[in-house]
Amino acid sequence: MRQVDLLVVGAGPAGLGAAIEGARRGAKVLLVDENRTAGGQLYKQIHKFFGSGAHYAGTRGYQIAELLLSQAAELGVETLLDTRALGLMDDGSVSILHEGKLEAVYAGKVVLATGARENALAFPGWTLPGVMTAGAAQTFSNVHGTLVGRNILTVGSGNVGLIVSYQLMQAGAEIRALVEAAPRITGYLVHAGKLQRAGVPIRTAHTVVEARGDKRVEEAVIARVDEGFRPIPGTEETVAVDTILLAVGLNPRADLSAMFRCETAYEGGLGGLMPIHDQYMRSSNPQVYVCGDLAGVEEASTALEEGRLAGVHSAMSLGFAQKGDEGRMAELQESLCSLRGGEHARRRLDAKKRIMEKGGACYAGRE
Amino acid sequence: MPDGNKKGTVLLECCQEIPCNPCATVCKTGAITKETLNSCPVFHPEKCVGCKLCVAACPGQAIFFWEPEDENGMVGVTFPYEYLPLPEVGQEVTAVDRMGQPVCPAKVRSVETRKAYNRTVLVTLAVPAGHAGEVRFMKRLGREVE
Amino acid sequence: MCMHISEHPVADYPERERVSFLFDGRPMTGLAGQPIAAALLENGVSVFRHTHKSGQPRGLFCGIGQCSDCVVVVNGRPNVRSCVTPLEAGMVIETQMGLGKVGKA
Repeated sequence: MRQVDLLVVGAGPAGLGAAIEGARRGAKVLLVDENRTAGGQLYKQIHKFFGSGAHYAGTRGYQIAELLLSQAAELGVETLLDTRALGLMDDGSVSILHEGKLEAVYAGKVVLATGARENALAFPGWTLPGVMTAGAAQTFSNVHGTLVGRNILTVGSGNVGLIVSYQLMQAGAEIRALVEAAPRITGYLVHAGKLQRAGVPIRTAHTVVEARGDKRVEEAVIARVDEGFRPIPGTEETVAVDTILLAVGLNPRADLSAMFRCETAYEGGLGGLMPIHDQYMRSSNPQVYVCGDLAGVEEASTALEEGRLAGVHSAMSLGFAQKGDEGRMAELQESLCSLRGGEHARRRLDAKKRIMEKGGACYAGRE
Repeated sequence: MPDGNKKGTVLLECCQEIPCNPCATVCKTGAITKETLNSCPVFHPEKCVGCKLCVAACPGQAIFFWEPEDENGMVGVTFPYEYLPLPEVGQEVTAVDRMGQPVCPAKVRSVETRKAYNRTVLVTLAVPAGHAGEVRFMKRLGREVE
Repeated sequence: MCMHISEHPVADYPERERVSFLFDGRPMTGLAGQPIAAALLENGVSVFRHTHKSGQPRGLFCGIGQCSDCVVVVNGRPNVRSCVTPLEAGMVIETQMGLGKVGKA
């Protein structure tokens, strides 16, 4: 049985941001993560990050993870890895599975930072070994040091598809083609530029229609698609590959937040069904905060800021306020607006506004 | 070719509004500025001292540097390189354009590794002045030929 | 086609000891601590199990222990997620057929 002020579920940039800000204000913080290594998606990222100095721009992802983890440790955050938060019990405790045993955690506030999962794309042959998510190839290449294939077809031109393709080339693979069903590249053009200058063909308005092979992928069939994303018969081409990577979007992992009875809304621009939240990252359940990709798929910089915001507000609400906290929260909100201010982020910005209106309505008239 | 000064010239191929500013942050002389976090960066050639920190710092690898033309009519084109094996100084490689298409053969003038570059290597190729404007990269070494 | 990355331009990998293990009775070597799936891939094995109803080959899919497509039998125990379970010296690993058998055969 553990008693803490703040329980943070998920040790990615959002969870770390929340844990750091909470601990900074004197709250007793327990941070749990189901993985053996903390850092969320950061520890797999070997490329330099975007954003501004405050978001560690120019630093490689895994370096940012190390910085945040040591900050959390210095502030006295207790971190339990290989520990899964299973759900909310009737007595208000959160059940965690740690070293094979169930434990009850009684927390003043809970911050959920459970991230997102990759979508799958089904097509004939998609279950053949060699067809995998882009994240799988990335984890194996950047973290484990194993190249999962030599000749690759990447499906999806969002930032994940573009970045993972580049990272696999760095590891020694060749990207034979990258297909994108939309008529234009959907990720940052500078990421696409790195692939194009290395001779990778990027085929917009194309998708994969079949994977062929005996025990593993031996070739892929791609085809042109119409405005309705339907493959056009007669436009099929065969590409000799041993690996097909699916980079077709991320979806918030809202299972745990559902157990906490957090209300949800659907926002395509943020990854699908997600828990609503107000401007302080409070979900419809006042005990629970949501932040990072769980609260809408964006980037590491927004995850970090949302986590910080959740950490400050939850600590304040438990009586650990520090002088200047109102200003600090305003700064974080300002920073989030700025990160979402470019044309490329328009859809996300609008979606977040709608989410925060719904979340804010839960607390209207109460404060 | 864009305006430059005696030290050379920087080309910023960053054309989308995305939140990012390491180029402006790393430049010590204010030769690269950004109005907001999302606006496209602007180059001020008169302030550039040719340190090339921006070429290494750009997370999108969208910054290139041209050394001024020498007496042999050759221009040094610098770009970021994060692949192995690294080329060697004096080696002849194939300079390519933005789409990876070959432009011309080129000798490697320098391969710079500095702690400040955080593991990004800066490769400079000596390219005939007439072709320099097209060159953005080189054919990676040790790869199968298409 | 799969291989261990010996040198990477920007990533670092931990030092690991090379150990022996068995896969379907065949002696193989891998790196202690790397995921079983990584060791198998580096030894040219892509098929980790066959499905229960139609015997289709399956292997690595999500890579982070979420989808259960990569499960193998380890030391007689089925349904071990090979992508998140570290390799140990002397492990006896087998292709899982269907749902696997738990307990005495």
